[in-house]
Amino acid sequence: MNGTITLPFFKADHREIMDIRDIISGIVCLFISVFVFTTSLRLGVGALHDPGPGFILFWASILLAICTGILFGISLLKKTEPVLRSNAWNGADRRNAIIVMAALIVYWLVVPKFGYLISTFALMLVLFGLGRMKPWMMILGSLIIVLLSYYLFDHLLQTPLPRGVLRF
Amino acid sequence: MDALSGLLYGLSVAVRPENLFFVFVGCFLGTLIGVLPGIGPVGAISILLPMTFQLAPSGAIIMLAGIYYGVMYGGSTTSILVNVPGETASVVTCLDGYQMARQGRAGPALGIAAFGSFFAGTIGLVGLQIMANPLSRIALKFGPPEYFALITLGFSLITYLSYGSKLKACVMALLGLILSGVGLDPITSQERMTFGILNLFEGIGVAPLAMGLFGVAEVFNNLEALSSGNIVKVRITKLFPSKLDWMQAKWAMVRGTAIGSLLGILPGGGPVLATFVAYGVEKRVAKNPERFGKGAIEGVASPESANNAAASTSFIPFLTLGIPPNVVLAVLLGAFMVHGIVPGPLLIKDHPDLFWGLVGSMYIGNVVLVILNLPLIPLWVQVLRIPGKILYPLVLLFCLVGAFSINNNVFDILVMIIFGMVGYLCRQNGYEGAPLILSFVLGPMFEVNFRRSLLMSQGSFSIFFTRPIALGAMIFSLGLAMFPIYKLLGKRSKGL
Repeated sequence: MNGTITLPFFKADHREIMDIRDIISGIVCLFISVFVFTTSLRLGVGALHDPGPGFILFWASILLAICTGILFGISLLKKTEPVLRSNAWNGADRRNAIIVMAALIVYWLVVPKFGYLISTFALMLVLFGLGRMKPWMMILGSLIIVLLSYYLFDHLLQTPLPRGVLRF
Repeated sequence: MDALSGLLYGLSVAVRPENLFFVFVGCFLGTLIGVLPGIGPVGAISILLPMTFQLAPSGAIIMLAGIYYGVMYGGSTTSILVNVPGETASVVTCLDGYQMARQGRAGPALGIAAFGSFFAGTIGLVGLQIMANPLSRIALKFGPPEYFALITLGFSLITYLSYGSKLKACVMALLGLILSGVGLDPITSQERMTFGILNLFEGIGVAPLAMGLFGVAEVFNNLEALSSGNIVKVRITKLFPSKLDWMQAKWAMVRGTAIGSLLGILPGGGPVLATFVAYGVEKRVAKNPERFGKGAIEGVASPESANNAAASTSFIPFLTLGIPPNVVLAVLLGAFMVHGIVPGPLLIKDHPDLFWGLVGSMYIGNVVLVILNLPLIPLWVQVLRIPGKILYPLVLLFCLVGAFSINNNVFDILVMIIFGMVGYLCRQNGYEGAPLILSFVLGPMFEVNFRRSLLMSQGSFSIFFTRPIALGAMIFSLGLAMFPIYKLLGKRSKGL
């Protein structure tokens, strides 16, 4: 578990396992290289004396596939530098990062509709909430930061921040 | 305009009240962010870039340069007092700086770091001032093959000098090159990988990409551990090093300056590499190398001098050739473009006020930083105590507003969030963001010059090997590419 798989060729008593992260990143890069390769063909690779819009992309995708293939191979066959179970995923708490990522995506979706003040106030509440602040401090802190940043950017630096349907 | 009259003109531009103000604000904000662990110069420039949008180009560039060398100065404070480097170029300073602080010698450590940085930064600037004009004149004779070969050399050095896996650095550089292809083709104006999205027709913006990859990703990483390091609880007195300290540190400062000045110019080099090399050299030439790592003042003086010298000289290829030698200047190139300025051989001729004003402001900035660094150390220590739960939401908010204010478009916010996630995942998996951003910035130049060279030679690669500068750069690049393979084969044959 914990995002790792156990391979039979590592000695069980050392709890040595392969790091699955290189395999996953390898698959993602291979997928990208295939996409870019087909796109470059569609755009037109051209010839050496007259390179087309897909020329650089074509060669970049091939080199990416080669690099990823080597990386993939090393990850699968790596016996000399196995990753210990404790190091494989660090046991780090990713909950906060995932919540913030989700909050940012929601923010991006709602900010044109609800405007800067309301959306940013809500986002700040979520962010301060992760720091386990007292509710009144969260609300007061969010309010002060939103109003100050609005004044700084919208009024002083003349950046027209999104107004939303409520026009503020 | 020769170097001396250029400098005098530059100083006259830099001492204008508004420019003095921007130097001061840039240095202050740079030092402030440099003090905070985790946010390096790239993050600092990315986050603070939107503040310069409303300024005149010369003021904006002076302020951004101030932020850059301010971060380089500020990073040493956390290394010495907390054993947490404010930015990567201060990692080496931790080794002896923190030990000095633990022995009650935080003052001399901070003092020698500041004086060494001032000395090296000034010498680096003299180099920039002297070399800029002749190099610009030579660069005017460069054609597409020379530019292509130099950028290829940059790519090779970036990959070769990366800190983790070379293969992963290669993957990131190629991804950067592919991402730089998004938008309209620079020669035929054909749509490439835009998915019909109008906002992608002009390509992905450098600023939201950099903000995401370095600023937002940094916040995601730090959210996992919202704790701060242990600040050494000592009274910081006697910031001025003793006579013995000076005797021990003087040649270390000179050597660090020489190494930093040289490595700063190299593509892919820059302050980080310079500090490691300078520390290594210092340890090798020391009579008692066992003192290193236990609080040797040379171990602070040398890397701190090296990183500031490199920060100054890295402006030489950037301003004269338009080629950013490291990731910080790649982001700064994006900032130049936002302000409609294109660095390169014509910069001195077309914008002498900006070029010489920048050089002049950097001299003044060096003085401002010494004045700021030493008396304000107690303030910087207090800054270190700001809890992450307050600091990181503020950084995120700045990034969000910053991304939006580039084009007043929420699409840039999405780009920044996506690259924040990408940067976070990359870091978790051992992929560095630096090769990606550097090849992303250099990608369009690389493509255009490569295609133009092939058009010129009617498809013959000999064009890269028949012109002396291009040939030299290509041989160097090929050598760098072959060296790891040669080393691997050497290891194998020994193993057999």
